[in-house]
Amino acid sequence: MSDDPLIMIDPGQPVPPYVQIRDQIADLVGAGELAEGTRLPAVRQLAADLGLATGTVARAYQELEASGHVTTRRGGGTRVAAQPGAASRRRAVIVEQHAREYVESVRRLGVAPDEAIEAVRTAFGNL
Amino acid sequence: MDRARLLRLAGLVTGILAAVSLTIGREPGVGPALSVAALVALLSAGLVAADRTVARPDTTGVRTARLVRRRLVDVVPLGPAIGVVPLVVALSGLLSVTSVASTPHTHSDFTPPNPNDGRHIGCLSGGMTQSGPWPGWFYAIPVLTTVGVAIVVAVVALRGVLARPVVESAALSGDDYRRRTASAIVAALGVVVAVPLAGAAYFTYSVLGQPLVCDEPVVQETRPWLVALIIIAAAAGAYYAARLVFPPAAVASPRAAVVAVR
Repeated sequence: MSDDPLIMIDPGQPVPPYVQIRDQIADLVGAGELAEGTRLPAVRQLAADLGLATGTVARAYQELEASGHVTTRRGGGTRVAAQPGAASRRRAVIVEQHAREYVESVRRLGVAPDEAIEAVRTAFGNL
Repeated sequence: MDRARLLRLAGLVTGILAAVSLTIGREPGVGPALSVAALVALLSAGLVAADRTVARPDTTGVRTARLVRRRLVDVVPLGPAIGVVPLVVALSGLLSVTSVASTPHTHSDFTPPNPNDGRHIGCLSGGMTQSGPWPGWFYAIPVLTTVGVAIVVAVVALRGVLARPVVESAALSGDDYRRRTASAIVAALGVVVAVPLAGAAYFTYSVLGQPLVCDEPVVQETRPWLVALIIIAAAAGAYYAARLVFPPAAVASPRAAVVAVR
Protein backbone atom coordinates (compact mmCIF):
# COMPACT_ATOMS: atom_id res chain seq x y z
CA MET A 1 0.00 0.00 0.00
CA SER A 2 1.25 3.44 -0.82
CA ASP A 3 1.96 6.18 1.71
CA ASP A 4 0.72 8.84 -0.68
CA PRO A 5 -1.68 11.21 1.06
CA LEU A 6 -5.34 10.50 0.49
CA ILE A 7 -8.27 12.84 0.39
CA MET A 8 -11.85 11.78 0.76
CA ILE A 9 -15.08 13.27 -0.49
CA ASP A 10 -18.33 12.47 1.27
CA PRO A 11 -21.38 13.80 -0.59
CA GLY A 12 -23.47 13.09 2.53
CA GLN A 13 -21.73 15.81 4.49
CA PRO A 14 -23.34 19.24 4.63
CA VAL A 15 -20.00 20.79 3.61
CA PRO A 16 -19.61 21.38 -0.17
CA PRO A 17 -17.02 19.18 -1.93
CA TYR A 18 -14.69 22.08 -2.72
CA VAL A 19 -14.54 22.94 1.00
CA GLN A 20 -13.80 19.31 1.85
CA ILE A 21 -10.93 19.29 -0.64
CA ARG A 22 -9.63 22.66 0.51
CA ASP A 23 -9.70 21.77 4.21
CA GLN A 24 -8.08 18.36 3.77
CA ILE A 25 -5.26 19.70 1.62
CA ALA A 26 -4.78 22.64 3.98
CA ASP A 27 -4.44 20.19 6.88
CA LEU A 28 -1.97 18.03 4.95
CA VAL A 29 0.11 21.07 4.07
CA GLY A 30 -0.08 22.49 7.57
CA ALA A 31 0.89 19.18 9.17
CA GLY A 32 3.85 18.77 6.83
CA GLU A 33 2.43 15.67 5.14
CA LEU A 34 2.77 17.55 1.87
CA ALA A 35 6.25 19.05 1.82
CA GLU A 36 7.06 22.44 0.39
CA GLY A 37 7.38 22.30 -3.38
CA THR A 38 5.30 19.13 -3.76
CA ARG A 39 3.30 19.37 -6.94
CA LEU A 40 -0.39 18.66 -6.54
CA PRO A 41 -2.31 16.61 -9.11
CA ALA A 42 -3.69 18.45 -12.09
CA VAL A 43 -7.19 19.80 -11.59
CA ARG A 44 -8.52 17.52 -14.31
CA GLN A 45 -6.92 14.42 -12.80
CA LEU A 46 -8.16 15.03 -9.26
CA ALA A 47 -11.63 15.97 -10.51
CA ALA A 48 -11.84 12.73 -12.52
CA ASP A 49 -10.58 10.62 -9.62
CA LEU A 50 -13.12 12.13 -7.24
CA GLY A 51 -15.96 12.19 -9.76
CA LEU A 52 -16.32 15.97 -9.48
CA ALA A 53 -16.49 18.83 -11.96
CA THR A 54 -13.15 20.44 -12.74
CA GLY A 55 -14.54 23.77 -11.53
CA THR A 56 -15.02 22.29 -8.04
CA VAL A 57 -11.37 21.27 -7.73
CA ALA A 58 -10.23 24.51 -9.38
CA ARG A 59 -12.13 26.52 -6.78
CA ALA A 60 -10.53 24.53 -3.95
CA TYR A 61 -7.08 25.19 -5.44
CA GLN A 62 -7.87 28.91 -5.82
CA GLU A 63 -8.87 29.19 -2.19
CA LEU A 64 -5.77 27.29 -1.11
CA GLU A 65 -3.69 29.74 -3.11
CA ALA A 66 -5.48 32.69 -1.54
CA SER A 67 -4.79 31.28 1.94
CA GLY A 68 -1.10 30.81 1.12
CA HIS A 69 -1.06 27.00 1.24
CA VAL A 70 -0.15 26.57 -2.43
CA THR A 71 1.23 28.60 -5.28
CA THR A 72 0.19 28.29 -8.88
CA ARG A 73 2.42 29.18 -11.79
CA ARG A 74 1.47 29.10 -15.40
CA GLY A 75 2.97 25.91 -16.83
CA GLY A 76 4.40 24.95 -13.44
CA GLY A 77 1.25 23.54 -11.92
CA THR A 78 0.14 23.94 -8.33
CA ARG A 79 2.81 23.45 -5.67
CA VAL A 80 2.80 23.45 -1.90
CA ALA A 81 4.00 26.81 -0.59
CA ALA A 82 6.43 27.35 2.26
CA GLN A 83 4.62 27.49 5.59
CA PRO A 84 5.68 29.62 8.58
CA GLY A 85 6.77 27.88 11.77
CA ALA A 86 7.92 24.37 12.51
CA ALA A 87 5.95 21.56 10.89
CA SER A 88 5.71 19.68 14.19
CA ARG A 89 4.13 22.68 15.89
CA ARG A 90 1.66 23.21 13.06
CA ARG A 91 0.81 19.54 13.14
CA ALA A 92 0.10 19.66 16.86
CA VAL A 93 -2.17 22.67 16.37
CA ILE A 94 -4.15 20.89 13.65
CA VAL A 95 -4.52 17.71 15.69
CA GLU A 96 -5.67 19.74 18.69
CA GLN A 97 -8.16 21.58 16.57
CA HIS A 98 -9.68 18.36 15.21
CA ALA A 99 -9.72 16.83 18.70
CA ARG A 100 -11.55 19.86 20.01
CA GLU A 101 -14.14 19.60 17.25
CA TYR A 102 -14.63 15.90 18.04
CA VAL A 103 -14.98 16.51 21.74
CA GLU A 104 -17.55 19.26 21.16
CA SER A 105 -19.55 16.93 18.93
CA VAL A 106 -19.64 14.00 21.33
CA ARG A 107 -20.33 16.22 24.34
CA ARG A 108 -23.44 17.48 22.63
CA LEU A 109 -24.53 13.84 22.50
CA GLY A 110 -23.78 13.36 26.18
CA VAL A 111 -20.94 10.92 25.61
CA ALA A 112 -18.57 10.35 28.53
CA PRO A 113 -14.79 10.96 27.95
CA ASP A 114 -13.88 7.26 28.35
CA GLU A 115 -16.53 6.25 25.86
CA ALA A 116 -15.33 8.90 23.40
CA ILE A 117 -11.69 7.82 23.71
CA GLU A 118 -12.67 4.17 23.26
CA ALA A 119 -14.57 5.16 20.12
CA VAL A 120 -11.39 6.81 18.79
CA ARG A 121 -9.36 3.67 19.54
CA THR A 122 -11.95 1.53 17.78
CA ALA A 123 -11.96 3.86 14.80
CA PHE A 124 -8.15 3.66 14.53
CA GLY A 125 -8.35 -0.11 14.79
CA ASN A 126 -10.77 -0.22 11.89
CA LEU A 127 -8.49 1.75 9.58
CA MET B 1 -7.98 -14.21 -24.57
CA ASP B 2 -9.76 -11.49 -22.63
CA ARG B 3 -12.35 -9.25 -24.22
CA ALA B 4 -10.15 -6.15 -24.40
CA ARG B 5 -7.43 -8.03 -26.31
CA LEU B 6 -10.02 -9.48 -28.63
CA LEU B 7 -11.41 -6.02 -29.40
CA ARG B 8 -7.95 -4.57 -30.05
CA LEU B 9 -7.16 -7.55 -32.28
CA ALA B 10 -10.43 -7.01 -34.16
CA GLY B 11 -9.57 -3.34 -34.70
CA LEU B 12 -6.09 -4.27 -35.91
CA VAL B 13 -7.20 -7.02 -38.30
CA THR B 14 -10.11 -5.07 -39.81
CA GLY B 15 -7.95 -1.95 -40.06
CA ILE B 16 -5.17 -3.72 -41.94
CA LEU B 17 -7.64 -5.56 -44.17
CA ALA B 18 -9.39 -2.28 -44.99
CA ALA B 19 -6.09 -0.55 -45.72
CA VAL B 20 -4.89 -3.39 -47.95
CA SER B 21 -8.20 -3.69 -49.82
CA LEU B 22 -8.14 0.06 -50.52
CA THR B 23 -4.57 -0.16 -51.78
CA ILE B 24 -4.50 -3.24 -53.99
CA GLY B 25 -5.23 -2.90 -57.68
CA ARG B 26 -3.22 -1.77 -60.64
CA GLU B 27 -5.09 1.46 -61.30
CA PRO B 28 -3.79 4.30 -59.15
CA GLY B 29 -7.13 5.51 -57.79
CA VAL B 30 -8.01 7.40 -54.63
CA GLY B 31 -8.21 4.25 -52.47
CA PRO B 32 -4.61 4.29 -51.21
CA ALA B 33 -5.05 7.92 -50.15
CA LEU B 34 -7.83 6.81 -47.79
CA SER B 35 -6.24 3.57 -46.61
CA VAL B 36 -4.34 5.04 -43.64
CA ALA B 37 -7.43 6.95 -42.50
CA ALA B 38 -9.39 3.67 -42.57
CA LEU B 39 -6.62 1.96 -40.58
CA VAL B 40 -6.59 4.76 -38.00
CA ALA B 41 -10.40 4.74 -37.67
CA LEU B 42 -10.65 0.98 -37.14
CA LEU B 43 -7.65 0.77 -34.81
CA SER B 44 -9.11 3.64 -32.75
CA ALA B 45 -12.50 1.92 -32.64
CA GLY B 46 -10.83 -1.23 -31.30
CA LEU B 47 -8.93 0.73 -28.64
CA VAL B 48 -12.03 2.66 -27.54
CA ALA B 49 -14.12 -0.52 -27.39
CA ALA B 50 -11.39 -2.25 -25.35
CA ASP B 51 -11.21 0.72 -22.99
CA ARG B 52 -14.94 0.48 -22.36
CA THR B 53 -14.46 -2.98 -20.85
CA VAL B 54 -12.77 -1.32 -17.85
CA ALA B 55 -15.37 -0.03 -15.41
CA ARG B 56 -15.40 3.52 -14.13
CA PRO B 57 -15.80 4.03 -10.40
CA ASP B 58 -19.14 4.95 -8.91
CA THR B 59 -19.41 8.71 -8.46
CA THR B 60 -22.32 8.77 -6.04
CA GLY B 61 -20.91 7.57 -2.73
CA VAL B 62 -17.86 8.33 -0.65
CA ARG B 63 -14.71 8.24 -2.76
CA THR B 64 -11.05 8.87 -2.21
CA ALA B 65 -8.09 9.89 -4.35
CA ARG B 66 -4.38 10.00 -3.83
CA LEU B 67 -2.70 13.38 -3.99
CA VAL B 68 -0.14 12.21 -6.49
CA ARG B 69 0.50 13.88 -9.78
CA ARG B 70 0.51 11.39 -12.64
CA ARG B 71 2.81 12.12 -15.58
CA LEU B 72 3.00 10.79 -19.11
CA VAL B 73 6.57 9.59 -18.58
CA ASP B 74 5.32 7.34 -15.78
CA VAL B 75 2.95 5.40 -18.04
CA VAL B 76 4.24 5.70 -21.62
CA PRO B 77 6.69 2.93 -22.61
CA LEU B 78 9.78 4.91 -23.55
CA GLY B 79 11.48 2.50 -25.97
CA PRO B 80 8.47 1.78 -28.19
CA ALA B 81 7.48 5.46 -28.12
CA ILE B 82 10.96 6.54 -29.24
CA GLY B 83 10.91 3.79 -31.85
CA VAL B 84 8.00 5.50 -33.61
CA VAL B 85 10.14 8.58 -34.30
CA PRO B 86 12.55 7.04 -36.87
CA LEU B 87 9.56 5.40 -38.57
CA VAL B 88 7.88 8.80 -38.91
CA VAL B 89 11.13 10.30 -40.20
CA ALA B 90 11.55 7.44 -42.70
CA LEU B 91 7.94 7.72 -43.89
CA SER B 92 8.19 11.52 -44.26
CA GLY B 93 11.53 11.24 -46.02
CA LEU B 94 10.43 8.50 -48.41
CA LEU B 95 7.16 10.23 -49.32
CA SER B 96 8.98 13.56 -49.76
CA VAL B 97 11.40 11.96 -52.22
CA THR B 98 8.67 10.08 -54.08
CA SER B 99 6.58 13.28 -54.21
CA VAL B 100 9.46 15.14 -55.82
CA ALA B 101 10.05 12.23 -58.18
CA SER B 102 6.43 12.37 -59.28
CA THR B 103 7.00 15.69 -60.96
CA PRO B 104 6.67 15.39 -64.74
CA HIS B 105 9.86 14.86 -66.65
CA THR B 106 11.18 17.80 -68.64
CA HIS B 107 14.31 16.23 -70.03
CA SER B 108 12.80 14.43 -72.97
CA ASP B 109 13.24 15.84 -76.43
CA PHE B 110 10.72 13.41 -77.86
CA THR B 111 7.58 13.69 -75.78
CA PRO B 112 5.88 16.63 -74.06
CA PRO B 113 5.91 16.73 -70.24
CA ASN B 114 3.44 14.32 -68.71
CA PRO B 115 0.86 15.76 -66.31
CA ASN B 116 1.94 15.90 -62.71
CA ASP B 117 -0.93 14.01 -61.11
CA GLY B 118 1.16 12.84 -58.14
CA ARG B 119 0.40 9.20 -58.88
CA HIS B 120 3.07 8.42 -61.48
CA ILE B 121 6.80 8.70 -61.64
CA GLY B 122 8.41 11.14 -64.01
CA CYS B 123 11.88 9.88 -64.74
CA LEU B 124 14.82 12.06 -65.61
CA SER B 125 15.99 9.47 -68.11
CA GLY B 126 12.58 9.78 -69.61
CA GLY B 127 10.86 9.77 -72.82
CA MET B 128 9.07 6.63 -71.62
CA THR B 129 5.51 6.42 -70.44
CA GLN B 130 5.09 7.23 -66.80
CA SER B 131 4.52 4.37 -64.42
CA GLY B 132 2.33 3.90 -61.37
CA PRO B 133 0.73 3.57 -58.92
CA TRP B 134 3.52 5.69 -57.52
CA PRO B 135 3.43 7.08 -53.95
CA GLY B 136 3.67 10.68 -55.15
CA TRP B 137 2.23 13.80 -53.59
CA PHE B 138 -1.33 12.72 -54.42
CA TYR B 139 -0.96 9.96 -51.82
CA ALA B 140 1.77 11.51 -49.68
CA ILE B 141 -0.30 14.52 -48.59
CA PRO B 142 -3.31 12.61 -47.22
CA VAL B 143 -1.13 9.85 -45.75
CA LEU B 144 1.20 12.25 -43.93
CA THR B 145 -1.74 14.41 -42.83
CA THR B 146 -3.51 11.35 -41.43
CA VAL B 147 -0.36 10.22 -39.62
CA GLY B 148 0.03 13.75 -38.20
CA VAL B 149 -3.57 13.74 -36.99
CA ALA B 150 -3.05 10.25 -35.52
CA ILE B 151 -0.03 11.50 -33.54
CA VAL B 152 -2.05 14.41 -32.14
CA VAL B 153 -4.97 12.11 -31.29
CA ALA B 154 -2.58 9.65 -29.61
CA VAL B 155 -1.12 12.41 -27.41
CA VAL B 156 -4.61 13.62 -26.47
CA ALA B 157 -5.66 10.02 -25.73
CA LEU B 158 -2.57 9.47 -23.55
CA ARG B 159 -3.38 12.60 -21.56
CA GLY B 160 -6.94 11.34 -21.21
CA VAL B 161 -5.67 8.01 -19.90
CA LEU B 162 -3.73 9.86 -17.19
CA ALA B 163 -6.93 11.42 -15.88
CA ARG B 164 -9.10 8.34 -16.35
CA PRO B 165 -10.29 6.87 -13.02
CA VAL B 166 -10.82 3.13 -12.77
CA VAL B 167 -12.27 0.71 -10.27
CA GLU B 168 -9.28 -0.93 -8.71
CA SER B 169 -9.12 -4.60 -7.93
CA ALA B 170 -6.54 -7.19 -6.97
CA ALA B 171 -6.17 -8.02 -10.68
CA LEU B 172 -5.96 -4.46 -11.98
CA SER B 173 -4.67 -1.33 -10.28
CA GLY B 174 -5.19 2.12 -11.72
CA ASP B 175 -1.56 2.36 -12.76
CA ASP B 176 -1.66 -1.10 -14.36
CA TYR B 177 -4.61 0.02 -16.44
CA ARG B 178 -2.90 3.28 -17.45
CA ARG B 179 0.37 1.56 -18.42
CA ARG B 180 -1.38 -1.10 -20.46
CA THR B 181 -3.62 1.39 -22.21
CA ALA B 182 -0.74 3.80 -22.90
CA SER B 183 1.28 0.88 -24.25
CA ALA B 184 -1.60 -0.08 -26.55
CA ILE B 185 -1.98 3.51 -27.81
CA VAL B 186 1.74 3.78 -28.58
CA ALA B 187 1.63 0.38 -30.29
CA ALA B 188 -1.35 1.46 -32.40
CA LEU B 189 0.56 4.58 -33.43
CA GLY B 190 3.51 2.40 -34.37
CA VAL B 191 1.24 0.29 -36.60
CA VAL B 192 -0.26 3.44 -38.15
CA VAL B 193 3.22 4.60 -39.17
CA ALA B 194 4.80 1.24 -40.03
CA VAL B 195 2.03 0.01 -42.34
CA PRO B 196 2.10 2.96 -44.80
CA LEU B 197 5.90 2.97 -44.63
CA ALA B 198 6.02 -0.67 -45.69
CA GLY B 199 3.37 -0.01 -48.36
CA ALA B 200 5.06 3.10 -49.76
CA ALA B 201 8.46 1.38 -49.81
CA TYR B 202 6.95 -1.66 -51.54
CA PHE B 203 5.22 0.38 -54.25
CA THR B 204 8.32 2.47 -54.81
CA TYR B 205 10.44 -0.67 -55.12
CA SER B 206 7.86 -2.30 -57.35
CA VAL B 207 7.55 0.60 -59.80
CA LEU B 208 11.29 1.18 -59.99
CA GLY B 209 11.70 -2.49 -60.83
CA GLN B 210 9.42 -2.35 -63.85
CA PRO B 211 11.15 -2.58 -67.22
CA LEU B 212 11.83 0.66 -69.07
CA VAL B 213 11.13 2.74 -66.00
CA CYS B 214 13.88 4.92 -64.66
CA ASP B 215 16.92 3.19 -65.97
CA GLU B 216 19.37 5.59 -64.36
CA PRO B 217 21.96 3.79 -62.19
CA VAL B 218 21.13 5.88 -59.15
CA VAL B 219 17.53 4.71 -59.29
CA GLN B 220 18.52 1.09 -59.50
CA GLU B 221 20.96 1.53 -56.62
CA THR B 222 18.10 2.61 -54.37
CA ARG B 223 16.24 -0.67 -54.78
CA PRO B 224 18.29 -2.65 -52.19
CA TRP B 225 17.74 0.20 -49.73
CA LEU B 226 14.03 -0.01 -50.39
CA VAL B 227 14.10 -3.76 -49.67
CA ALA B 228 15.79 -3.00 -46.35
CA LEU B 229 13.14 -0.38 -45.62
CA ILE B 230 10.33 -2.83 -46.41
CA ILE B 231 11.84 -5.42 -44.06
CA ILE B 232 12.38 -2.90 -41.27
CA ALA B 233 8.88 -1.44 -41.62
CA ALA B 234 7.29 -4.91 -41.72
CA ALA B 235 9.26 -6.02 -38.66
CA ALA B 236 8.33 -2.82 -36.81
CA GLY B 237 4.69 -3.25 -37.80
CA ALA B 238 4.68 -6.85 -36.52
CA TYR B 239 6.35 -5.77 -33.28
CA TYR B 240 3.85 -2.98 -32.63
CA ALA B 241 0.91 -5.19 -33.64
CA ALA B 242 2.03 -7.80 -31.11
CA ARG B 243 2.34 -5.13 -28.41
CA LEU B 244 -1.09 -3.81 -29.32
CA VAL B 245 -2.80 -7.15 -28.82
CA PHE B 246 -0.57 -8.37 -26.00
CA PRO B 247 0.58 -5.34 -24.01
CA PRO B 248 3.37 -6.36 -21.64
CA ALA B 249 2.33 -7.04 -18.06
CA ALA B 250 2.52 -3.88 -16.02
CA VAL B 251 5.10 -3.69 -13.26
CA ALA B 252 3.46 -3.61 -9.86
CA SER B 253 3.36 -0.04 -8.71
CA PRO B 254 2.97 1.32 -5.20
CA ARG B 255 0.93 4.14 -6.60
CA ALA B 256 -2.79 3.72 -6.92
CA ALA B 257 -4.80 6.67 -7.99
CA VAL B 258 -8.20 5.69 -6.84
CA VAL B 259 -9.08 3.45 -3.98
CA ALA B 260 -12.47 1.87 -4.02
CA VAL B 261 -14.29 2.70 -0.81
CA ARG B 262 -15.92 -0.28 0.69
